[in-house]
Order: sequence, then structure tokens, then C-alpha cells
Amino acid sequence: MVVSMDFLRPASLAEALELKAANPDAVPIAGGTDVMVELNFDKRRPAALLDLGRVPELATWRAENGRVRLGATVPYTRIVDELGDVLPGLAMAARTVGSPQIRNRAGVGGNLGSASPAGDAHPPLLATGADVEVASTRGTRTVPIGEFFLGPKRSALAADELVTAVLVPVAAGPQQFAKVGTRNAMVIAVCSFGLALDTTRRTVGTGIGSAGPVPLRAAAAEDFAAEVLPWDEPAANTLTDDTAKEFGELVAAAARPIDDVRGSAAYRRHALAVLARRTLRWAWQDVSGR
Amino acid sequence: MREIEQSWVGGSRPRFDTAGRVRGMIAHVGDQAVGAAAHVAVHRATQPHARIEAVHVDEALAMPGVYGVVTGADLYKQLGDRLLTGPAFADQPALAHEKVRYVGEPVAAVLAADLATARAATDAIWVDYEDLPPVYDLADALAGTAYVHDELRPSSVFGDLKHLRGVRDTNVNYTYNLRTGDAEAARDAGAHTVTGEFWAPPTHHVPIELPCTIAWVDSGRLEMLTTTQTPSYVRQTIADLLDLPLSRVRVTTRPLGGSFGAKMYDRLEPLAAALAWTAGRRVRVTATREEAFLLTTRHGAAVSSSLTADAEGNLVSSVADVRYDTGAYADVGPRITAKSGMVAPGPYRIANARVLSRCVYTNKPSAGPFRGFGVPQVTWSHESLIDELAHELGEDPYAFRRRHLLREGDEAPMGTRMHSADFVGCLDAVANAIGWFDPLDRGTGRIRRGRGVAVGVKAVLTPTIANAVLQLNQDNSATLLISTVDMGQGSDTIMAQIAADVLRMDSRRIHVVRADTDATPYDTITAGSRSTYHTGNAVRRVAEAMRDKLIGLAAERFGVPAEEVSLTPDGPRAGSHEVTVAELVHGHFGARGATLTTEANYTSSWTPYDKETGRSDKVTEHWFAGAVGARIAVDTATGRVRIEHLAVAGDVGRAINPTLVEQQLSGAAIMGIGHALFDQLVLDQGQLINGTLLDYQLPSIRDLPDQLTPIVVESPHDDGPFGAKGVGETGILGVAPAIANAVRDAVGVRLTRLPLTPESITMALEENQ
Amino acid sequence: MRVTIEVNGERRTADDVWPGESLLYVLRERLGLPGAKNACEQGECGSCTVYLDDTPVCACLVAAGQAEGRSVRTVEGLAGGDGLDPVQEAFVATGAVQCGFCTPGLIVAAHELVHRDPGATDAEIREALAGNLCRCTGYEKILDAVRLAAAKKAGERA
Repeated sequence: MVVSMDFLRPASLAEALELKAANPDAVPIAGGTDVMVELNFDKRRPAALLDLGRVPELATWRAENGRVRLGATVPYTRIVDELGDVLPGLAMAARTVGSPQIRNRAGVGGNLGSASPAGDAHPPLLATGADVEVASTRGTRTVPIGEFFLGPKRSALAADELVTAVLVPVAAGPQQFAKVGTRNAMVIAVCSFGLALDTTRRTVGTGIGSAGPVPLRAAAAEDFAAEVLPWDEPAANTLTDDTAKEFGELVAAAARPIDDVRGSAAYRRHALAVLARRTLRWAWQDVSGR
Repeated sequence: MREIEQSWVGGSRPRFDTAGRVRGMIAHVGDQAVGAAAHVAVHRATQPHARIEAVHVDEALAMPGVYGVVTGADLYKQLGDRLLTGPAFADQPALAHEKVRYVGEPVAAVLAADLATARAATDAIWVDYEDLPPVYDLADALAGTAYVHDELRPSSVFGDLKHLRGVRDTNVNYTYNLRTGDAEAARDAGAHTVTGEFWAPPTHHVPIELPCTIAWVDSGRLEMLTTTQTPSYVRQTIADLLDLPLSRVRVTTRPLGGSFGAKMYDRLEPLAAALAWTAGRRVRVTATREEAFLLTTRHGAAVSSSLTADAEGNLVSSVADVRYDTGAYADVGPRITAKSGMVAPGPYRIANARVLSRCVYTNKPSAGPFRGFGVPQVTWSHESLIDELAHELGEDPYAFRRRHLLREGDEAPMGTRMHSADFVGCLDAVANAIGWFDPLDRGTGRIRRGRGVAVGVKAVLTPTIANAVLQLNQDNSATLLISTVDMGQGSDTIMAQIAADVLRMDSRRIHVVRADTDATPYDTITAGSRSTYHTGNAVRRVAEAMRDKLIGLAAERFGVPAEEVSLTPDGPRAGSHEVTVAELVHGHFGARGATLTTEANYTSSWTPYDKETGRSDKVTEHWFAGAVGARIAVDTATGRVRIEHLAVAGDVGRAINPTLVEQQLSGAAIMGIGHALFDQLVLDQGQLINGTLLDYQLPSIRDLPDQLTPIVVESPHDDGPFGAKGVGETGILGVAPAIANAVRDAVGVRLTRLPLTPESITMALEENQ
Repeated sequence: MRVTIEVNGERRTADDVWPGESLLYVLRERLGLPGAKNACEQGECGSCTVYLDDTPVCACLVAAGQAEGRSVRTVEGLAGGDGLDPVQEAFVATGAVQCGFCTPGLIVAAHELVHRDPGATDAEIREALAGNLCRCTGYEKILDAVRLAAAKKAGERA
């Protein structure tokens, strides 16, 4: 017996929020990357689907007050094409999401809504200190990205809320993203790492993916790098091997990985140290090249 | 070359139906509209090894849209022991009966008005189990404290397994022994011995098309349309299962969307036939991708082996203990165990060889045939060992191999001579292609480069039977009836080329009828790279018979002896006499549209191997020889391998269609790269945990090497059609060891377990420091 | 529910659609268009690639209702009548087709690339086709096909 299911098709954000309030069990769907797989595999039979694909407010981005307000359903393809200059870390991560077909449909809203530790958008959002904008008929609030993830596939989103946007600071220095997977395309991260340098405020942001129950920041590594990076002499050769190595080790130490089918905890730590070292070098080269 | 000649042997004419395929117009089995049919979904075992106490189906049965629920016990009541089928052992029930033997085994089938309903109903079935001790891996199985099957039940397909009937208290269902000389003594006396514990994990074929079977009863006959490489085998299986004469079973196919061994023998067909027959309904059984992963797998194989050279560097001993994990059901594992065990020493001149090759039951999804038929697993071990031995002796791995490779007329360690197996030509070709003799920039920092080669040898499936029927139509077009299944390899095209070459006609005027056991003649199987040679010979013969017939008719018409008549693209000729085929056939019958018919058979023969020594003077009709060369770069920080150049050579005897041969070599290369670098089925306590395409990572176009060079080597076979042999498996044999040997060359670590993941390389590098 | 979609230029309607079913299911089972293939149902193989409006997507990841009122173009609709689109011609000419099961999805992905960027480099071709798995060909001849079709397209524009 096929259970009945409603298909809710709001044409505006206000309508979407009303529908979500009235149907807290409704599952929001945009790019379909996660939701459709669960439906196709009979893993989930929700009472309703809430199609966000026709909500114009969610499908745009704009710059405001030094930040980019990136709508939840702006597809990764557009992030790559349009935001490479202002949000380079996120654009780099976007380029590695799934396949071209998936990038044409999927956006950060779904990644956040699923709250998977392996979501590719999460490390750059953590590294840049983004805020997640969520809304309901009760109002709109912003949640700092570091407080958004509560556990594997659990987030701070209430049942009547939708992720409407992320507010990402415009890059104030070089950003990097790297991940390790098995093959060269459609890579599910064994682990990933995002890095953002702010050369004005002289701070370093980090984000770790696929190496813990939630996406993580490496606070000690951030403090260490902000402290020891020779900001006054930004030449490529001023970043010492010892600094890069220690930064890598601090990042690895911040991870809380497990052994699973994609890799062991030990390898994840090892690879994170490599990614952290490497991205710091690349970023510092960019600083010196500016 | 004239256009018509391009359509003959040696021409790279495009395959049939390509235009339809690029337009999405070729209907595969799953694309067929089925009309009013029961859609079938399967409830699967949650335990690896358990006795079935009860299957509760009432709730499922009560759901609207559910036509029926069938259990193994229901089928057993009607079919008895005939429920158990399999090519080597009659050990596998279409639905589990009394016991389940792997997580995911079909326990009950729901027939419903639509697939969503059927699937939902499977969730409403529950089963009471009494758990039995599980046999998770080879070590458990060989320890022999729990048994997957109470006793061995050889099927009637392979006569040489009869002696195993009723054997109890073992998980080893077949043992092959090779004994040539005294390998242990020669090893102990030898100057240099290398040893290894090798592992090739279970993998999956993942043809993009999922399996699908539609079965129905028509006038007391069981008919089916199914995705199978083995229609003649399936007909026999279904006839046995339902106790019907062969004439009351019809198995038809459509072009397959890839297979590589996944759609052979008993897959969905016994279940579909049993359900259609017992329910009296048309049924459609499809596998989801997750289910397809459970239907059959490639054998995981462990090899403990050694290779020994004397003080002069001559190979004197090869010893191998090979264990194939065949899972819960033997499928064709015993054949794999023998055919691969006999080439475990590799394609080398070695006076003393000892191989113990065993096929072992475990509580895992069944393993069966996969491109290479077990040989890639032993190629992994012998090509790693000989490489290591060359390093130990300080010799060049290419030159060391070349010195020892079997040549034309040499006897392999298992007793059969080599003919049309140009190992040296293949090895030279790949070594040249990847620049083996040129200086290599090995890198100094994080990125290190290396090169590796590997050689493979495999026997063709022997003995086998092929038949062909040819109808020459009055308008000089032809209809060729064979039961070879075109699953992407292009067999229809090359069979038409062979027939057309003999008949001097345009191969595009030949229609190849796809396998339909009501119409097309018996053919053992489309597998084991056997079709080009076996069915190709039957097609050559059937065309020659037709040519003789035409020449006879022409000789009669011209009033000249047959020897004076020749067949040309424009028709028969004798001196100044000429006639077109159309006129000749019209003249003969006095009617338009009439047909001439010929038939032919080709059956290969063998000498069964000796039970004690494993030796035979003719264990195979012919050999496949292949070689692979790889130039790679290793990122020593992350352990990632980048393949800069991969060259794959195969001796095909003679290329009937060079483009199609290159396709086979390139396709095998990419599949082999997957096996080398990331393919593996991961099981945890018998549970498959990466059975989706998200988790089971396959090579994408971005994993294609920077450069890929397929190389066609031709040393014609005396008895092949126009000298030809098959090529489907040749390319894959040596890919993984060539890449591993290149890693060894680049960074100095010898990995013995596949796949070579970044993690395994990183860990090996750390241990090496 | 009822879903109306413009498919290959024709307005098509499907009734009794379950909201959770995919556009792929609607195309194959309700509208009689089996060109887009069902092979993984999770967006990993690309065999079901179709244009949704002007964007290549995996039809298995689009809920039927999301396609309401939009335009879909499948492999069956790339060329008019019995003819072949230049991309299809290139796949035939270069031997890029073996079993042909992944071919419809690859053709749509390649078609989009060739029209968007006929000057695509090899790396860009590989990236554009990275979401389409093929098990037969080894991809080499698929690259040849896209290069050929792109060169022809670039020639037209020049």
C-alpha cells in the first residue's frame, strides 16, 4: 500500500513558512540530492514534501554590509560561476560537490538541513564564521555556524523552521578548500578541510569535514596560526616548515574521527594534517602574491 | 579499402544499432512495457546464518494491492529439491528454504499490483530465526567449526564433480591440485625465494543496466524475457526447476546494458519462473542497485605463494595456496578455482610448480563469474612475486620476465602447450609504449614516479558448443541465428563480419537474431571470451556451407564444375558466366523472398586434467595472452596514485574489428584501474555496508589515465576463424599488479592487498620509514 | 496528483502521480519515454540525465511535482524525426557507444557542454562528464566523440 503524501508548492517565502508551520512534518526539498534518494530507496515516507524550488527569495544572493547573503537554494553551479571572487573558499568547495548534474540543482540550504558531517559546504562556512539564517512564521533568527550542528544529521533547526540563507563574510584574504577521497570525481570526502585567512584582522579560520560527529573548527590551530604567522613579512618563504607542521598537527588533533568504510580514524587525522599544511602553504603564497 | 571490404574481417565498421542507442531508442528488458503483471519485491534475510523458524506474511497479504506472498517453504512444497539450482552445485534456492545463509538472501516474495506496493509489503513481513554460528570469512570457513551447507550437492551440469556428492563437514566445495616436479624441494634448494600473502577483495561488476526478468505462462509453456548472458543455460535450469521438457520453456533476451559476468547462470530467472508458474501470472522481477550488489560478486581471494630462482636467476619453483571465497552458494566457483589455480604460477617456464586451489563457502553473498574468471586474483600474486624477485636479484623487472616467459610451443607448468599466445610481443609492446627504456623523472619531493609491467595468461572456456543457422534471403540479405548475447562487446557485429567475409557480401545486409531459445540454436554460454572463437567458427562454417550451396547452384546454372565457380561481391562468376545472388536464388526457387538455409556446429574438446597432478595435455582450446604497463605518480603525503600512462596489450590472434578490440582493451583497463585503486565490497559481520553507487566508488572519466594506449597484438590461431580469438578478459588480467609494481618502483613499498587506497599506501610508507 | 510537463516540445500530462515519485519514473513509466535510464536512483551514475528547462539534471533526483509546468528535454528529443543531433553523430562516428546503456545520459551531458562551451579543454570535458559512469568503454572514445562534436560546433560558430 502506498501511503499518501502531500506535495506543497509555495510560491513565496511567506507561503512556505506558513505551510511549514502548518505541516511541521513536511520535508523541504530543493535539489533533491538527499530527499529523493531516501524516497527512491523507500527509506522515508514523509507526510508531505515542501518544494522550495519556486520560492524566489531563496534563489538569489546579494552583498550586504560586508557579507554575502546567499539564498538557501542558489545552486552550487551559480556559486562557482558567480561567487568565486567574494567567497573563494565556498566556491572551491562547491566545485567538488557531487557531479555537474547535482551542482546544477543542489545548494547550501540542503547541505545544512541534512547536517551531514560530510557536507562539502560546511568547512568553508565554519572557516569564514558564517551565520545561518533560519525563519519561521515566528520570525527570523541567525545561528552562528558553529552552533548550528548538534550531532550527526541533527541541527539547531526547529520543526517549523526553514534554512533561508547563509550570511558569509566577504573574503578578507586567501581561502582554500581541499578534500581527500578515493576517486577523482563525485568524491565523498574521507575528510575535508577549509581555511580562511583574514589579512586585515590577522585571523585564521578553519573547518573540518568528515572527521567528527559534526563539522568542526580547530580553534587551537586557528589561534596558533594567527599568533605565529609573520603577517608583517608576507613572503612565501616566511612560512616555516615547523609552523605548517604544527598547524597541521593541531588541526588533526581537533578532529574526532571514527573508522568507517571510507577510511580509518588514523588515516583521517593523517590526511587532515596534510591538507591543513598544504592549504596553509597555498594560502600564504597567495598572501605573499598580493 | 572498398566500403564493402570495410564491413568484412579486419574492417572497423561501426556496430549495429548504434544510431538507435544514441537516440535512446533501443529497448532493453527493463524498458519493455509489461501490461498487466504482478510486480515482485523480495523480503531479505537479516541474519547471516540462521534456521528459519517461521515467516509471518499475514500482514503483508492483507495490504490492498498485494496479490500474494510466496516463501521458500511454499515453493519447496511444489518443487521439492528441484528448487535448488546452480551450475556446479544444486545448492541455491530461489527463496531461502529452512536456512538463510547470507544477509540479504531472498526469504519471501511479494506479488503486487505495482512495485511500490510490493516493496511496502515486504516491510510488513517478519521472520523468526534461530541463529546458527556464522562463517564470516575464509579463516572461519577453513577452521571448520560451522558449516554453511550440511552436505555437498553437485549439480548434473559438470560430471566431474560427482564424487563430491554427499560429502559432509566441510566448507571446501572443490579443490584443485597442480603438481609438477617437486616444487617444495626446489624451493628449499633454491638460492632466492620471495613470498607473499596476497588478498584481492570481493568486488562487483556493476553493469549500468540493472537485472530484470519478466516471466509468464503461455499455453502451458513458461516463457521469459530476461537480462542474461546464458539463455541456453537458463532454459535448461528452468526446465529442470519446473520439470518441463525443453520445448516448453522459452528464454528470450534483449541487448544487455553491460554484464561482465553479472548476468549469468541463476540470477533472477529461477525466482521469476517459479513465481510465474506457481501463481499463473505474468511477473516482473527487477533488482534495485542495492539488490544487484547481492545477486553475485567477484570472489575475494587469498593467495599465499612463493617464487624461487636458482643462483643463475632461473625460475625453479612456484608454490601457491589459493582460497576463493565463494560465499553462501558455489555458483561456478569450483570452475573458477580450477581454471585460475592452473595458471597461478603465471606464464613462465618453471620446472616445478605446486598449487592448492580451494573454493570455500562462507555466509556472504554468493560469488560467481566476473571478467577474468578468477585469473586477475592469481595474476595479482604471481606478477607481484616475479616483480619482487627481479628486484631481489637486482634485475630489470621487464627483462627478467621476458627471459622466462613461455614461448610458442612451450609447455605451461600444467601441461598444455602454448600456441598463439604472444606474451613477449605483448610485454614488449606495453614496455615500449610507456617508455620503459627512456629515462624517467622520478621526482624528488612529495610526488614520486615509477613504472611497472605485468603479464597475464588465461585459458578459454573449454569444452564448449556453438551452433549457427544462416538464412540467405533471395534479395542477397541474410539472417543469422545464434544464441550469443550482445551485451556491449559487439558480438552481433563481428559475427556478421565473419559471415559477410565468407559470402563476399555487405555485413550490413546481415541481421543477427538475438537469442530466443525458440528460434536460435544452442550455444553453451556468452562468457569467458569464447564467442569470437567458438561461435565465430560456427558462423564461419555456416557461411562456408552457404557459399558452397550458392556455388553449387551457380555451377548447375552455368553448366560448369563447381571448382570453376567463385563467389564475388557481385555474385557467382565462372569465366564469362555471371549471375547475381538474387537472380540465382530467384531462379532456383522461382519465387521472390525465398530463403536458403544452412546450419553448422563448432565444438571444442579438451583432455580433463588429472585429479592428482592437475595436468592435461589439452586443458584449453587456446590461451589468452596480455600485458599491461603503467607509469604512475604517487603523492607521498596523501598516498594518492595518479596514473600518467597505462598501456594494455592483448594477443587476439587476428582482429575481426580492430576498433571493437581496442574498446575491449580500454574498457578492461578502466575496470582494472578500479580494482587496483578503489573497488571493493566491504562486509561487516556478513552485512554488505557499501552496496550503493554512492559508497561503492567506480572509476569516473576523471579517473581515466592521462594517457591510455590499447595495443592489438596479432599472432593468428591456426583454428580460429580467420585466426581470431576473443579479447573480453585479456586486458584486465594485469592492470592491478602493473600499477602496484609501479608503486613499488616509485616509493619502494610492496603492497599485497588490493585495493591500493591512499590510506594503504600512506600506512605502508609510514611503516617503511 | 496530476503533473503537466512540456516534454520534448509537447505538453504531456500524467495522472495519479504519487508525489514522492521521481521525474525519471514519470518519464519512463507514465509517459513512455525509456531513453533516460534507471540505474542507481541516487544521482551517482548519470544515466537518467535530462534537461530540466535548460539545465542537465539527474531525473531520479527531481520529484515529479518539481517538474510541474516546466520543460524537459530527453535524449529522444535532441534530434528531430529520424535524424541525429551532431553530438549523437559524433558518438556513432568515434565508436563511443558499446552497450549503450549509459549513452543517453552521456549524450545529454555532452550536448549541454558542446553548446555551452565548444572550446572546452580536455580537462573541462572530463569535468562536465564526471557525473556519468560508463563501464564498457573506458571513456577514451567518449572523449573523442565530445572533441569531435565540439570542434564541429566551434566551426559552425566561427
